[in-house]
Amino acid sequence: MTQLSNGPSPRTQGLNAVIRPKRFGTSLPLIPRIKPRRPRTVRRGAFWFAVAWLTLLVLAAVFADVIPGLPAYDEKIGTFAQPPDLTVGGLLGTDGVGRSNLSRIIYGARVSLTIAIVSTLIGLVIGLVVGMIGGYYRGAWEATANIIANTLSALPPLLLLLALVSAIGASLFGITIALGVVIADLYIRVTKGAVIGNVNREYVLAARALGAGDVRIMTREILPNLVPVLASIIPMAMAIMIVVEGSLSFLGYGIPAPTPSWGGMIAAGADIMRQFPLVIFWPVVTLFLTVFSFNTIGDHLASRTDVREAKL
Amino acid sequence: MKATLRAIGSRLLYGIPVLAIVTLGAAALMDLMPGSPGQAILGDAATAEQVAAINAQLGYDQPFWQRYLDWVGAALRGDFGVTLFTKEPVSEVLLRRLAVTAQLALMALVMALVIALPLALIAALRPGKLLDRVFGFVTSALLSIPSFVSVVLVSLVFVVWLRAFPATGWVPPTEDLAANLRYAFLPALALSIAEGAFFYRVIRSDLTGTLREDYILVARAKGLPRTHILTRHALRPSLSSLVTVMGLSLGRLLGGAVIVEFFFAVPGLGAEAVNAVSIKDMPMIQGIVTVCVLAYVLIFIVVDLAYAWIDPRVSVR
Repeated sequence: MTQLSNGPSPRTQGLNAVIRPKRFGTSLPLIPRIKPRRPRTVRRGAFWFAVAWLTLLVLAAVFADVIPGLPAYDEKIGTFAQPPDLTVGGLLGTDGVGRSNLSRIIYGARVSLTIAIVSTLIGLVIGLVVGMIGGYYRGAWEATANIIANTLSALPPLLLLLALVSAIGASLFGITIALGVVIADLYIRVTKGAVIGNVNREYVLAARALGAGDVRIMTREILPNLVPVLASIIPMAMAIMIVVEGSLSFLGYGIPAPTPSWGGMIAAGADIMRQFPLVIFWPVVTLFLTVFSFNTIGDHLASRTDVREAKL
Repeated sequence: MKATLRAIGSRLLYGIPVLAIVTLGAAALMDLMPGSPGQAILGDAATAEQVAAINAQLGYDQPFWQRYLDWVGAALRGDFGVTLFTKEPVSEVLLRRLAVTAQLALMALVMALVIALPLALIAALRPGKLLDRVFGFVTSALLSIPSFVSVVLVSLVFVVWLRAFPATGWVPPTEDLAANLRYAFLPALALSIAEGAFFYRVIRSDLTGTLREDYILVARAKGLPRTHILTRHALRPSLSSLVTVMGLSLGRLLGGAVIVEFFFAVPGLGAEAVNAVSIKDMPMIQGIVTVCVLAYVLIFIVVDLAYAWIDPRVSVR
């Protein structure tokens, strides 16, 4: 029982609290520990690594044109599949036709990040409008929101995307819009669920008692309370957007050449990976680190906002 | 039993509006796409009259609604039309392609489960300890590998370096089962990587929750061995999230294994979908869309029934 008194607020689990595990050995491994957890240094390290990587990527993408010594993405700087050397352009070697891998990865980041950010905003706007109306008014509105969300998720996402992209056009604009529409079902579901959870809370009742209209309650009262939920979804959705954009390029339906994209670089590198595995290595690592970073940040935000997870 | 049947019926009814909207949406999308089926068949060299003649022959000179309602009428009688180029019945192509995709999906699910379940059991025994944290890190890394990267990596390791499996292609199981499995292994492995990591996370988090219940403490107090508690007492109540996730996975794998099928040249539904969109093969696209929606609805009926089996407190309504 002494353990219960020290520490800020030890978490107890029913009867478990009074049973102390043996100091050594594994006699009662199924009973969770009751001492306060050590902070998770590994997780925190991963989080800051993710932030640092994404910052670096965004800076490189924004300032790609003024990085000294960086060749243009379509400029041939040497022979094909050249190994890395110490010039800026040759730092990561060259691709299958002799263009700088570093330059193509940085300019590819521009495409990937633009698409990820803008399509997330498009999906968010659709999701917020449909989800809030569905969650706030319930009834027929909710059924409509459900049907929209179910329709979007019942279709295989890549099939829907291919059709949308070929209808709008395989340009930056068309792909961004198509991705925004395809991801909207996630935001619709999340928003609707969160609104339903909030709509009967006291603060909404208070606002209504003060005479606030539906639109005001939705935008000024409920919307700020959706931010924590959405904040943890958005980075993960952006990771999905980057992956899906890469998949489109990989299939040959993405941003047209010669504009570089990571998916296109991986597809081109796959053709020659038998002889030159290094060419495909760099875009794969970049893509992996980026997706991993978005997921890690999303996980981190989710564990900060989700009460259940924080207890664990 | 009667309640169960009614539950199945109501879910099937719910699938009807979704099916109608999805097929209508697919038809509208194809209508918005530039080009026409006649153009696709004849190529760029054809004159406008030739294209118009082919379109009229295929019924594409009719207004959009007329065409959609005709398709619905025929589909209700079980007639999904013929494909644009090969003139095969769509339903035959669908069945053939679905069999391939379903085999891959089931293999991938089984492989994912066989790897994820034991690891999750081991990790859940000592939550927060080194092994659990290592597994947690590895799975979050695996989840960050897009499918078009995992196919490349799998092929690099098993085809280029180990030379253990054929790079691309497919042999039907009716022809030669051993060869079929050799060709199916790599695509299934590539599919199972992300699914397995996802399953692991779901099982582990549910198990750690269950292991803190009081009845587990009681089982410990009775002196039951740890493995017995884990497999007999804790596992079954921890499976409900897994069932949902597996249902979602199966739906996704049946309709969305596009990248893997494309890369390994597997003649499945996903590869056919890409092909059909690129040549505007309307009957084929509608057929694929219908199969996907039906699979989605059926899978969720099974998932709901499985809930009730896992946790008898849950009743199907």
